[in-house]
Amino acid sequence: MRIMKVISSMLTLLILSTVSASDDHIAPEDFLQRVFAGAEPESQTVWLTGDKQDIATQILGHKPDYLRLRFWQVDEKKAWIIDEIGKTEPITIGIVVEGNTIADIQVLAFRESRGWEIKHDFFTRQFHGVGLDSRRRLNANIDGISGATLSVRAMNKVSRLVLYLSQTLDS
Amino acid sequence: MQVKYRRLSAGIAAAIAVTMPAIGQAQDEPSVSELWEIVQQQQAELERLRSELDNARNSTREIEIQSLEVSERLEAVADVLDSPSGRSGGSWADRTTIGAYGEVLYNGGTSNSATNELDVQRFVIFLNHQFNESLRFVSELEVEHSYIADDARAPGAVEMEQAYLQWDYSADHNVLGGMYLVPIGILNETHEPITFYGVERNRIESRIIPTTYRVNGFKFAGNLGGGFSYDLGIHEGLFFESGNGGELAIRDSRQSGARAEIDGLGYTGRVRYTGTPGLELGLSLHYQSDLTQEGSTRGNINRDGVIDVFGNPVSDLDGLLTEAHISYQTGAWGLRALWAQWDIDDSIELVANNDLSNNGLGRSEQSGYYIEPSYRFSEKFGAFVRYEFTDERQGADINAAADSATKRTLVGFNYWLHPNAVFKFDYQFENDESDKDLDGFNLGVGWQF
Repeated sequence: MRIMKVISSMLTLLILSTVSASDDHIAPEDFLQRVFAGAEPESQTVWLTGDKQDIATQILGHKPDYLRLRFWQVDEKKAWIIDEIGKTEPITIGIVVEGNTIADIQVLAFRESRGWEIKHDFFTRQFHGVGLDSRRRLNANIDGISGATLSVRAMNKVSRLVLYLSQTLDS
Repeated sequence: MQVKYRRLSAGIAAAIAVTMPAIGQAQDEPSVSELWEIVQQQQAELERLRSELDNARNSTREIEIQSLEVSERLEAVADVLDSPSGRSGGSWADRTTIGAYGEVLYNGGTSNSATNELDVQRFVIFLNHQFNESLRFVSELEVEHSYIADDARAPGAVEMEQAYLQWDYSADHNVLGGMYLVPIGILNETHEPITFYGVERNRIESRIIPTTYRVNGFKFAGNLGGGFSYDLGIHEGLFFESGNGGELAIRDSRQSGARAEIDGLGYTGRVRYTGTPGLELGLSLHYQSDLTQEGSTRGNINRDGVIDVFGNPVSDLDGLLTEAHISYQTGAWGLRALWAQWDIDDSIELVANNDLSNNGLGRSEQSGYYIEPSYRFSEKFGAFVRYEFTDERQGADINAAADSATKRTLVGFNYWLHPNAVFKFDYQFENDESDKDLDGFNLGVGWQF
C-alpha cells in the first residue's frame, strides 16, 4: 500500500506538471522570426569544400557530416542553425553572428539525457560578444558546467565554426 | 548561318563567271565543267561542315540539360545533408547511437586485494535510441575486470549499468523508468575517466556512496528556474544480510537490479544549483525504508537474512544518507569537495555474522568527505591534490570501530592525449588507523567515444 501511495503521488505530480507543459524544443522558424523581428530573409548556403572542410574538421575534431550549412543574413547579422553531438545525441544550436562576434546563442533542441544546463541564459550569456583569436579559438574563457563537459564542448565547437564561416563570407 | 553559306556559294559562282574569259584563254587552265565540279565538291564540304556544326550544337544542348539535371540532383542531395540533420525524423540508424568508455589501471601496492596489479577495470558499451524528440532509450552494458569464468582467477562480471526510457513530458521536466544511476554525489552519474582526476575514484564515492550505484525504479527530474534543478526517485533499496563478514558494508549491499527485493524501497531526492557558470552545488537525501528487505532470506538463492549476536532475526533497519557537494571551475582553477553521512537504525550495532560474531558494531553511522583542488596548466595537462577521510564504523568508539577510519592524501596529474583520451598518474599517502597503510602509486589510461 505504501508503494501505491508513493506511485500515485508521483503520477499526480506528473499530471500537474503536464498541465503547464510547453513544447520541449524551439522550432527553427521561431528562432529566425525572433532574430529578424518577423522579417525572415531567404536562406543562403555555404559549401564546406576545400580549405573550409579542412578547417571545419579541425575545429569540430571530426569531419562534418554535412556538405553545406544554411544561414540567414540581413546586413551584418547572420543566423546559423547547426547540429553537433554532445555525448551521443545531436544538440541543435542557433547562433547569431553580428560583425565578427556572437550576438546570441540558443539551444533549440537538447536530446541528451544529461547536461541540459547549457540551455540556460546563465551559461549562454558567456558567449555574447565573443569572437575568434588568430588560432581560431574563442577569444574569451567559457566556464563549463560540472557534469555537462561534452555538451559545453559541443557548444564551443559550433561557435568557433560559425564564427570562422562568417569571416570567410565577409572576406 | 545557312544564309551565309548560300552567299559564299553564290560568290564563288560569280567569281567563276567573271574570270571565264581569262580561263578560256589559257589552255592548261580548268574547264568550266571542271570548275563546276570543284564548286560542287566545295558545296558538299560546306554541307558536311554544317551538319557537324548542327551535331555539335545538339550535343552542347544535351550537355547543358544534363548539367542542369546534375545540379538539381546535387542540390537535392545537399538539402538532405544540410545541417541540422533532424535526427528524430531520420532513419533508424540516424536515431541509434553507440559508444564506449573504459579504463585500464595499474595499482602499485595501493589496493587491498593485491600488492601490485594490472586490471581492465571496466569496459562499457552504450547503446541509445531516440524514438522522437522527447522519448529516448539509454543503456550501458559493462564488463568489469576483463575475465569471467568459473575460476578463482576470473574476478570479472557482466553488468547492466543503465537501461531506461526517458520521456521529456514538458520543456523542463522529464520522467524515466528502468535502471538508472542514483542522483547522489559528483561521480555516480558522471564517472567517465576523462571527467575526473585520480586513477581510482575517491574512496567516499566508493564506500559511503557506493558508486556505481544503479537501481530499478522511476525518477522525475527537471528545472525549477533560477539555476535550480531537482531529482525525485523511487527505487529498489539496499539489501543487507548477515553472511560471513563483509555483507553489511553499504557497497556490498547493492542489488544492482538483479531480481531486486522491493519490500524495503529506497527514495532519493536531490536539489542542485548550477546558476553560475562553472559552479555546481548539490544536496541529496537518500532514504532506505528497510535495509533487511523485511528480513528476507530469499531461500531460493540461499540468502542468509539478518540476525543479531543472539541469533534472533533482525528487520526494519532504516537508514538515511545525507550528501552535499560543491564543484567549481573558474579558468584554470578547479575545486571539488563532498561530504556524505549515513545514519542507520541503532539496532544494526548488534547485527552479527552467521557465526554470531558481531559485524554491525559502529555501522549506525558511516561518513566521509574529501576536498580536491586542481589546476589545469593547459588543455592537455592538469594536476590535483586530494585529501580523503572515510569511516564506515563511526557509530561506536570501541574495538574494531576504533580502527575503522582511513585518511588518504593523493597528488597526481591527468594528461589528455585527446579530449576523449587520458593518461593518469597519482601517488597516495595513506594513514590507516588499523595500520594497513597503503602507500604507492597508480597509473591509468581511460577513454570515451
